[in-house]
Amino acid sequence: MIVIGKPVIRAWAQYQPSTNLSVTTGSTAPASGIFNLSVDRESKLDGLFDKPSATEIRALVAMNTRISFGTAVTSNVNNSGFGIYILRNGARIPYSVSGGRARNRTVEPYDANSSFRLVLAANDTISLEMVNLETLNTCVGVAARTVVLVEALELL
Amino acid sequence: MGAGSQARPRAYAQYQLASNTNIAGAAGTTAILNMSIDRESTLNGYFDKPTNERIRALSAMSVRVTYGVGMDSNVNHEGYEIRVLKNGAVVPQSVGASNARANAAEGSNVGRTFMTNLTANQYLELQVNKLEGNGLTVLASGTLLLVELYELG
Repeated sequence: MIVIGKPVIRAWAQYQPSTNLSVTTGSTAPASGIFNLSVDRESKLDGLFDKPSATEIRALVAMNTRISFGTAVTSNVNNSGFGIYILRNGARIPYSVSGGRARNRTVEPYDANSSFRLVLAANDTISLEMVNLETLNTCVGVAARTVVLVEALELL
Repeated sequence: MGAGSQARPRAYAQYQLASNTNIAGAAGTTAILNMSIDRESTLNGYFDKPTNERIRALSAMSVRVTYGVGMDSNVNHEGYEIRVLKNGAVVPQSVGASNARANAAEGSNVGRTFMTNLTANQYLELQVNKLEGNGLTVLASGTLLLVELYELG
């Protein structure tokens, strides 16, 4: 076979939360929280990624990436609206958003997931945020059903 | 970092659920899905299909796995979990969950994309885990499993 173009990059950072993420609102909404992405799930960082904090995945060089995430959310009330975002350097990526209406039983979760392309500059960080959209509710993102995958597709 | 001398193998196994599948039983009941309908796979000597349920890697490799599952129920808000098994063991990063509705016109969906490493002859399966004890129907037209070869070795 023939290789055409730039070298193929084979690196990925894949992390799962260590604990459930709970976000409670008072009389005003929304409120948000950041997942603790500290459980390594078969990452191959290959010198292109590191983990500067529990909530952040960092690209060490400029690159094109594919980002995929999924989570499942429950609540203390039925039909509690939530949104899930990927953050780049703490700012929401608008087209990363997914969400739904969580239920109040742990056996009735609601799934949210997405996959998209994103360009990262050197030292850009990626985090996963959950937003509780309604007042006086608690939304819980379930750690065992949550994952973030950042794939390095091309170096820039 | 990737080596310029390494060619990228173009291989993927992509299968769909054979028919709508009803899953009865109490909470905790599991079922492995019959993913036997080939949807434009290019196995290219890297994958095969030893059973209707299993996609097998013939070499050691890293793969990107993507699945989507559509679900219906006989009651509203019937909880379920979807996961990928590697040689019968749950891949932790594969787990997603949601709840199904009783109206066939109100479907529910779970999807994930993740990476995992396989040794030669390890196989992947798609499993449903019931979180409640009512009826679940997995929808054939809404269920797909894609395994892409990402890197050999």
